Amino acid sequence: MTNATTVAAPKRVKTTTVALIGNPNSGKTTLFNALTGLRQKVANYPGVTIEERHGRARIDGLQLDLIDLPGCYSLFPRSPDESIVCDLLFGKVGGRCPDAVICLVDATNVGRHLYLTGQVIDLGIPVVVALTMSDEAQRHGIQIDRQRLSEHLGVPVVPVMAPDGVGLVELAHAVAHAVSATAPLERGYRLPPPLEARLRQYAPEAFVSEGHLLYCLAGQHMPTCSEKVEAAASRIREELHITEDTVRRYTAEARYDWQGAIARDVVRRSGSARRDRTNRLDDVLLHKIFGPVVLCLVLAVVFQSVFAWAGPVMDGVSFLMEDLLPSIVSGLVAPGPFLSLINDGIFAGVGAVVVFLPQILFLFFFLTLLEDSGYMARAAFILDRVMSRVGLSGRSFIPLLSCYACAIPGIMATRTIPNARERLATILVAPLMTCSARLIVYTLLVAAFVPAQSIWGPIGLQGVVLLGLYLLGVVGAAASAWAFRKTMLRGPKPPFLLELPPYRRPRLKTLALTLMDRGRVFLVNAGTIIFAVSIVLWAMLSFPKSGEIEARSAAQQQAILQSTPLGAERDAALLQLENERAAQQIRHSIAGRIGLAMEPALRPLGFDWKIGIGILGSFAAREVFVSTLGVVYGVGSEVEGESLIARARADRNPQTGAPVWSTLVAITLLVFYAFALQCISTVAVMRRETNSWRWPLFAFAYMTVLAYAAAFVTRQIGLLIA
Amino acid sequence: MTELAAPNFSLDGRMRPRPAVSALASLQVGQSAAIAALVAPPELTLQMMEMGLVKGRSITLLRKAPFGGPVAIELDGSILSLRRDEAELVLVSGDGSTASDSDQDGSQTR
Repeated sequence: MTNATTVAAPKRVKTTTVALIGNPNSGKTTLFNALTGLRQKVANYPGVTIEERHGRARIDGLQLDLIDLPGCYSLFPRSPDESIVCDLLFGKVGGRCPDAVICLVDATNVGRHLYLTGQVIDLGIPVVVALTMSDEAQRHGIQIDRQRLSEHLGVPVVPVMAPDGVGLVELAHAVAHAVSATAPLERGYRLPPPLEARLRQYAPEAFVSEGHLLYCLAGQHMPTCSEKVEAAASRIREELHITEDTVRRYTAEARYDWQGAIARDVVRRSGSARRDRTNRLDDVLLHKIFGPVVLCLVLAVVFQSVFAWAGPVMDGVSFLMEDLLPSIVSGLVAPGPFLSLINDGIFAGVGAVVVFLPQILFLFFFLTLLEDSGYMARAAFILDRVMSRVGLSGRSFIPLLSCYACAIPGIMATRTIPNARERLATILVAPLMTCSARLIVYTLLVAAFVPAQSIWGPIGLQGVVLLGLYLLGVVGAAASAWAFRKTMLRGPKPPFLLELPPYRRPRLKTLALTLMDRGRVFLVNAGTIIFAVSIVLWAMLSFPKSGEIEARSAAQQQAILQSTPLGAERDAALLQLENERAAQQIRHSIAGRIGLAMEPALRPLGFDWKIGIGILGSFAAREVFVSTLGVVYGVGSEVEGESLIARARADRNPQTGAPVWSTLVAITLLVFYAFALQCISTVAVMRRETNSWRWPLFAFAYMTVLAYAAAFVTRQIGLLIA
Repeated sequence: MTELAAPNFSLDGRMRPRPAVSALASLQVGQSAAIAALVAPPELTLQMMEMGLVKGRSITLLRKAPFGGPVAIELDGSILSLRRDEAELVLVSGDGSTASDSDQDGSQTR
């Protein structure tokens, strides 16, 4: 309470736009959460906030519109997420800069975090420094003289402990006060004298601040860099025979001198300042031998638990969506097309997707845990060598691991990859990772058509096939990434400069918020795209109806009722008739005709037109395959349980009489699904992230070709063995 | 420290600079040294500087990943990883001290 920051708040009702800026892992998102109460992803891996988020804070009569930005190290951006920060700060978004900036400085590492703070101060936007992690600093014996720090920087410094809400009121008042202050901030560091003298001379002539002129000199083009300013900048560069790079290097050195001096003045260390716990953990987790072993174990535990634990919950969800709700609705709605739409279309379609919610949440639970604890960066460290063999780097590991839950967050997480070619290669192979939507197709087909025999002891054939499919995805991704980086995405190996954050205990609250966020996004997706696709598919499979087939079926039904006495035999005959009728109607429907038209192209793979319809539907979303087959095989509400599998098994080719579904057909289909890009949402997010249709279309084309070729080869090998 | 400000060596080949200066990659695990110069291409040099690899600062080689993977260094209380070939481009003047007796503030040029 000694500082200028505690001066009574100015009377203002107008909201103030405040951007939150800081290095990765500086506690930015935690502060944002504390200020706004809004849901937001926090993680302890550099660069998890992948999009700016907005939230409103009402604190002590003040109203702040907060923008949470991705963590960054410098205002000379290298990766797409750093560009987001600069575009916003320079006023390239919406034509206006934020009213103030809260710069986060990690108290355990003041020396380094001041670099970005210094760059922001040069912009001339009002700045307030929020000193975070002071509790952790204290445990490490680090004391910060915040009064002195504030004097050095010329901006208010407010210590905050966001999880406990400490310092938030003071921070809000400091921001409000800083906005109303008029005195411009001064550059604290000193450049080489000739450069310094020219800055002083030319900045007023060009009507910009020295800080802005310096950004232009260094080649950072801001809206304030008018022609006049650019002219001044090139004149200075010519006079001193320097390039933009030289200016940036001079500036970086001068800044580090300046902030080093500040850090020496304000930081008091007692005892060892080393991060002992982190170092001790790293001794094991980054050990030459134990490190990779632990990583394998962690991944094994994650996947095993996801499958083992999510199973029972998934059974519950599928009971709800496929049995309970349809039976309730059947009691309320009269039979007819409308009931069919609700039960066969909506519940079957959306239910097939909602079933994945537990699994996705489990996987994200572990991913978030690994990220928040700081382990993810270590995994990237260990795997960099392997991944650089195929032209990627350790940075690609986190996005690709997320793709095992769902490719969409995975592709969005590639924004932290600075190198454009590497990022593109990662995006292109991301959909090859076995996402949870593939898993349901795998589970169904493997359980139904791969014999449950033992290969060796407790290791069964089914498990090996499933594992093989996962490996197929990894191998396919590695080979494709390698091929892309050798051909169209050729380029020098990108550097791997990555911060390994200190290990921190994940916070339960942020974990829960993250999961809620993920679940919501998933359900919204399921509730829109999959919902719409389910209805369209249902309609395509249901119409047009042929009156001729109906009449013939009705006549046969009469014949059975008259000729066969009441009993099991009659029921069976009626059921068979009903199935034949449904099958004929589907052949007659739009989807059936498309499937029949496709059949010649699918015959080399051993697929018939019914599988063709399933595949066609899957191009909207893979998981639709199961529900489509359900509709195709006429699994209505009157038949329950294993009937889809039973009916598929009984299905025979009308010409040859051979079963349509052999083990080979199932495995061929599995291989096709392992490679094909069957997800509209993924294509859409690729389009957004690459800003063109070129790459999603390319990904779709190469993966479809890959899927067809791999399926064809699988069938040929299978025929040879048989 | 001043005689290291402009190390006299050529960039071609694997030529070893003067004995006092060596590459970060050749430090022993646990060894500390002061950064003498960055000899990376301009863009990478800037990136390294902005991540804190600035002439005169003290760094400790914490560990090396297996099979020629990246190295982890400690720099002013934070841990940074870089590839081994990138670590070849960071020249250090080692005093051979080990991590236990190095001081974070000890080697700042002024």
